[in-house]
Amino acid sequence: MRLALGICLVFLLASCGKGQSPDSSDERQPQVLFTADTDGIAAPEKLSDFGLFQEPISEFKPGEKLLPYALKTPLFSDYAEKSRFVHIPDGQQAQFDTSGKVIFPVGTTIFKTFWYPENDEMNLIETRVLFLDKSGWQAWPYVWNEAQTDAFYTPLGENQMVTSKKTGTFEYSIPNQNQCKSCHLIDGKITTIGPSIAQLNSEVVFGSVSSNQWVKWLDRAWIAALPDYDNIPYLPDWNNHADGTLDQRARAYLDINCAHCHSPAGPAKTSGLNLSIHNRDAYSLGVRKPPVAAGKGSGGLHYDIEPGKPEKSILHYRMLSNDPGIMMPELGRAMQHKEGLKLIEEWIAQMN
Amino acid sequence: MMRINALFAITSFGLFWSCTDSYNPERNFKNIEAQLQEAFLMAKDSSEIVLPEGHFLFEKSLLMDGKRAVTIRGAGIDKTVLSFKGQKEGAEGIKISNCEGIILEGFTVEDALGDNIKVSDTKGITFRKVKAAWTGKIDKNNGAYGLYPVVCTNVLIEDCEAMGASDAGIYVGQSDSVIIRRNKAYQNVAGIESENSNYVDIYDNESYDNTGGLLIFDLPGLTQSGSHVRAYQNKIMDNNRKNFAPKGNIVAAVPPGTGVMILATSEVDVFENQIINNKTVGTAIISYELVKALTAENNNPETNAGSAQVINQEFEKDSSYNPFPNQVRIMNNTFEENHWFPDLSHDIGRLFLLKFWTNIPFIIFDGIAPEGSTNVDMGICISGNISQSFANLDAANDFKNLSKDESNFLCK
Repeated sequence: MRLALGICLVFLLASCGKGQSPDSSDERQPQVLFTADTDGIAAPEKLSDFGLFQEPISEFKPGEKLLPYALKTPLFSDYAEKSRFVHIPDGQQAQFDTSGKVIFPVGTTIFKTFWYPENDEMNLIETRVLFLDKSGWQAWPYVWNEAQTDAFYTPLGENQMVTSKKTGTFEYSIPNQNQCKSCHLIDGKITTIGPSIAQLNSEVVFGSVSSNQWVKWLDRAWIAALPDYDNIPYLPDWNNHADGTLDQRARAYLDINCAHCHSPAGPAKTSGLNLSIHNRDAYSLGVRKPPVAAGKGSGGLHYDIEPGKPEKSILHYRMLSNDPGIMMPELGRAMQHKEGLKLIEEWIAQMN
Repeated sequence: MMRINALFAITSFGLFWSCTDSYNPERNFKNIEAQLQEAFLMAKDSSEIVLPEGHFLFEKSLLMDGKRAVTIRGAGIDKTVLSFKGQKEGAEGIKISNCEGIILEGFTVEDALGDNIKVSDTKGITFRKVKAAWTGKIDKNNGAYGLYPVVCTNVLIEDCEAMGASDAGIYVGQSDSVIIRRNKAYQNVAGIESENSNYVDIYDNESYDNTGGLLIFDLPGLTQSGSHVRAYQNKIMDNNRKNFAPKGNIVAAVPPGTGVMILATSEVDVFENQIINNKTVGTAIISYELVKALTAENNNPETNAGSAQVINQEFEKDSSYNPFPNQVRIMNNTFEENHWFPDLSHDIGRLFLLKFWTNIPFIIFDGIAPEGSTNVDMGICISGNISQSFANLDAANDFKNLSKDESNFLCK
């Protein structure tokens, strides 16, 4: 105890509290509903403070200002189930950039809740919130309490033991705010990863009615017109053989799992490896490309992808590993994604 | 230079590597992980994080992103020790990104799974009196880079120490305006490495007991290429350590016993250094083609046949990349050598023994020139070195016109 206190004194900046209260709580208003005018707001203390879910929030039902959304090919996160909701302020509209990425208006709030099925119920673990103010996206992690009555802002993240049928018991890592940035950064700014024209081009059940997501967004006037699909690469469901070729499915998988870092403006641009679905250059995609600064991540192999030989490809080796010094992605998984590995294996095996 | 023709010594050569060394400092760990993670996360611009004296163990990387003018200050090298031994998350020890004006001073970082301190996309980063080390046996299981600024500008690394890295102890990559001075780098694969960086001054350093003392490299397919590197008044000595880099990495191609290696970089000045007792080569000036051919041949016989073709294809992919060194000046250095033989664990060492027996020249140029050009057009020159000796390998033509004649390569 005395040691801990001594350490507090020398950290000029560390607040040394339990980590959940960076500012005094009376500055916060309950029932914050973010609008296009909001700026510089501190993270609300509880998920219910956003006022966007139905009360009680323990039911985990979206309010009418939220729409659920789904990605055709999502990031693998230790087999966690994910529920995604987005809020766009009234009167605002999303746009698209030339690559097909969704450009959201100020005030947009995105909720991604990670959960595991447990005895026919949802075991809610964490909700990651992305909130766009005038200065850019804020990334706020919320952790559900054991009673599952609400989730609390936890900038430092935490580790929890999680048990599910699919995973067994393992240590699940809820990222801290800096770890959020490790993936959500493009050109040094926090950004969304999933939402794009191609990723949301699928049917989702809204209430009881199934609809194409973009049709629904148009219906809500969240977009001005249906997106133009012609100038973007097709992106299938990675796990549905009927939805795309092996190459399309592998590229979709690599795009969502790797390209947030491994793209020309991503944090791993230093490697020269570009796994974006837009990349058409075989060398920067990894084909016979030697590693640059991989260290033991190379596994003694020569190329990121050796055509026809998944077992000799660094890409495959690093997906296979669970060693934090070797594995890819670096964060967000503690176990192998067996099905994803199999896809990449098949993809490399058929290359020549 | 003294090299004696003594054939019998070759057979006993293997004994030289039979010893393994390790680094085992005494550590008594305390835990300040939560407090320090919070300090890194919440640090306000223009503030200081003071690290207490003592040894501290961490499970996750310490990350800092998007801060300005933050100083992280410890009680001194080996007084404040941040250890990432057995870390569970992240590959780096400390990782700093998208910052401006960061100062790291007075602490040791040990045993990160990947890199001990990585700094990327940052304008203004100072490492001062910082040590990066790996404990235990010095081998390929150690992390890659000790001090690792990449895609940074205005980098200052001074009075630091780096040891045990399975790639480079002090490594600057894809960065501009860099000073590396008064550091010690030892027991790494590469002591000090500048890669794809511009306006780099490397001086008053000691780089010893590495596989290669000082590497100045340019590789294809990266965010930028490098030029204008000056290395002067350094002591680059006894870099004869076995190459323990994991294969596949470019430094795995560096022959043990390399003093200075200049790969495919332009505008490089190496002067007034003491380049002493590096048994294979004092200073090598080579093209990317040679290194790639060597790696392919050494480690992957199956792809050997097509390797040259593959390499050429790769060059074509990156049209801005020049695989040949040019405008390289090696002047007024002191060369000495007390070994009879080059390192024979590597093709280059064996080749040198074959071609030069025990009189290996101190400065070696692979002689590979761009098509339609000649060696003489590449602006490679030497002058005023103590014990100056030179060879042009003519490696492109299977060493057919290998020559020790330096007359075409004297600085004017």
